[in-house]
Amino acid sequence: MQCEIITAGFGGQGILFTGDLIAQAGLREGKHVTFLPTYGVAMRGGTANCLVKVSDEEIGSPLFNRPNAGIIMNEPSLVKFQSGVAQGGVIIANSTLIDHSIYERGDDVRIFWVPATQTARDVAGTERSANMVALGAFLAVEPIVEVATIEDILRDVSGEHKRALIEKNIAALEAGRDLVAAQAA
Amino acid sequence: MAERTGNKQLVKGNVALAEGAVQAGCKCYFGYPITPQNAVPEYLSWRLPEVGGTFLQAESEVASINMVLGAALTGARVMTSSSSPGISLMQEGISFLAGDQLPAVIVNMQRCGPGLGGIQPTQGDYFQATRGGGHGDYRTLVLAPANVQELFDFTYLAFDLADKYRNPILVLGDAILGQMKEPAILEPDHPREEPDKSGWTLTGAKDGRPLRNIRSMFLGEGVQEQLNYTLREKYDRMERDEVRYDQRWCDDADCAIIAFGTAARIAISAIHEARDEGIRVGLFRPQTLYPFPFDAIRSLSERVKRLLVLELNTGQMVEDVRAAVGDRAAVGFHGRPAGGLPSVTEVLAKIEEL
Amino acid sequence: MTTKVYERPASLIDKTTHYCGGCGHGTAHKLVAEAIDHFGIRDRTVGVAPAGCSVLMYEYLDVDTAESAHGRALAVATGLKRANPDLIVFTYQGDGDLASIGLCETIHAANRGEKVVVIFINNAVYGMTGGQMAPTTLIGQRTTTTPAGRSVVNEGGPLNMAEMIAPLNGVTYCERVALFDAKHVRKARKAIFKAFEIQLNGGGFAIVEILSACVTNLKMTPLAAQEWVADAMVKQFPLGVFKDETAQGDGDAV
Repeated sequence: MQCEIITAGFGGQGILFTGDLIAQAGLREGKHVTFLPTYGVAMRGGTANCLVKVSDEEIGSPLFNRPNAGIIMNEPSLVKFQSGVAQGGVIIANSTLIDHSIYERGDDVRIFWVPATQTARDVAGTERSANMVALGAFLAVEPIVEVATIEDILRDVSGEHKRALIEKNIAALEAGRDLVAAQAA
Repeated sequence: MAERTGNKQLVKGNVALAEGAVQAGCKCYFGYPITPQNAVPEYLSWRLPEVGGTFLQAESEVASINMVLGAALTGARVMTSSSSPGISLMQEGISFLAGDQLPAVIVNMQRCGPGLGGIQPTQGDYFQATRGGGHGDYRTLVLAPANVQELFDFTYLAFDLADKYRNPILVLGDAILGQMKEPAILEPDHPREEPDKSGWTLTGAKDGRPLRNIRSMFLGEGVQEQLNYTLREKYDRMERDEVRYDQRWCDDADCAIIAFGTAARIAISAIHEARDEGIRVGLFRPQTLYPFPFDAIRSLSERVKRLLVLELNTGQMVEDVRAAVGDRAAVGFHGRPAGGLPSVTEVLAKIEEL
Repeated sequence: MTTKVYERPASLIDKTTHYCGGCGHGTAHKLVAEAIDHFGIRDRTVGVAPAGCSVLMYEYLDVDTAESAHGRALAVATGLKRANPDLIVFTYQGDGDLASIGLCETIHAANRGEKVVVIFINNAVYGMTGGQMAPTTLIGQRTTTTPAGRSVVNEGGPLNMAEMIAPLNGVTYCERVALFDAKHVRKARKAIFKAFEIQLNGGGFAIVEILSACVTNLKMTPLAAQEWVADAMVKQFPLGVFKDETAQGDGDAV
């Protein structure tokens, strides 16, 4: 098994954090992982994306041109990355911020429209958990790591003072999972 | 490379190398910010004081490398890090370190050039790194890590080598290696070897000992020439004792890719795919670029008759490979400069061309 | 009974220097040696001599020294002192080194308050390379690269380093002295002693700018060169204390 995932969106949407979480969960589950962030020309605003590989085998290059999964949080990122997704791949698209009309791929890719930002507002009370909604949705479609492992990491890496935030993130993660379960059903 | 045991953590390359320095007993860091290696000074700015060391953000790379020289005069383990344009600015100081025979560790997380270039990964500094880089007839030993674990291990090792040879040691990475995260064990796999330096350091002339002067200018008849022979003798020892490389899948190989650093990572992906298709491709990965594994590549070329050199530039290491191989085997080249990273597909196509 | 009124300082090596007759380096070296003797710090002192005539300082001062690249003495000194704060570190720099190619290092080391002593020899000309313009060359002064005399329009005016450095935060002491007669040599000696004392007491950046004659490149007799320093140079570079944070109130030149 080798999964190549791109996460992409605005700076501030937790794009790198999402990729990092997947990689950390892979490591905990004994898999080979790489995480490669891509910044704009300088580390200011703009779009952010990162490349994550999770594999049962040794990973050569951390780079890839044809991801089999994209977690896409804003419109410019879908415009930029949709054509690169491999045939048979999966896209999780944040439908709160992305208009369906810009999507150009055919049936060779499975796309899941997830209102990540809106759901985060509803279940976590903050847009900042939108990445967790999208991640939950992604893992429901492609269970490359366990949601429980992600939850363990969230609990481990944050201090006690962030307890409330962790629980919001976990609620968002589970809401994302349930949204896709409903779509897939 | 032997499999390491220990607590693996997901860590950024720049942080791993910085921690490697701390574990090696690095006492001083002087540097100036430049992308893509800023995580090194940022990490050391809190980590070094925690272990009783000194961190100072210098006013320039020119100042950084000369602060490194000053600290090295005392025998303290000292380092700096930068990226290509900054390393160019340091070359005079590196030449002085070599001429003064002072130990120091310099990390270059390469970015594109020439000129300001950009922050994308490249291996455009191979010539600069392996031919001394600054003025004068000298060399720096160059370690070329290809993963985050090696960034830790090689930086740790670099301090021992610097002391062993009293010479600047370069760790040559790139923007991808510095910024990527992968699992690594941030504990050394062997104790560090720090020799007694009391025979040459500047401490003040204690207990009536004669003064010491550390310099690279010698005006006496033939003395400067002798210094250069002394240095040469040291480089001969490096060439004899410090060649490092990683050779994999070469036993049954019909052809082999020769690559270092990030290019070697791309090569590994290509080799996996090639082997899935039944094409037997091997990998030869230099881990020291100076001294270069001429002999090992020569003997590889006796067995494997088609060699592909893969670099993130338009052809630098390939000159050394051709010098090693002569007409024993066919040497092909594929490279993309300045952020135009070669894809696995491109590499596979080149292999099939051979 | 005979009384010894003068002897060579122990930290000054007993040999004839390579400096030209009338050059200030010999005197300045001696004053530094006297300070090292006075404070008994030979066994913990390290000097830094960058490129220039005085790069051979190690021939004359019986202390540990390092050579530095042109302009980088204060970066090297910073590294020495930060790596081993027990050392007494001094630099011995010319005007090209401190005020031209090393200006950036000078300003930043001073601003950081590096705990070092700077002996700055200002002789208004490049000595070792053969009499070219220095950043401190006077307006109208002929050098081998300003054959018609330095002009403000083409080369800019001379840099007054003591005035520039004194206001910086990290500077504890900044004085300009000269060597053109015995009275001024005594003043210079006092200033150098004070600078070392400040470092011994853990104070910050201490710089003594010394106006000195480069007889050969001024193409004057030793005596005429001293007079030129006393007249022409002092007009551009007034003597005095520009900062003394160890004293009560302001310095006498400010």
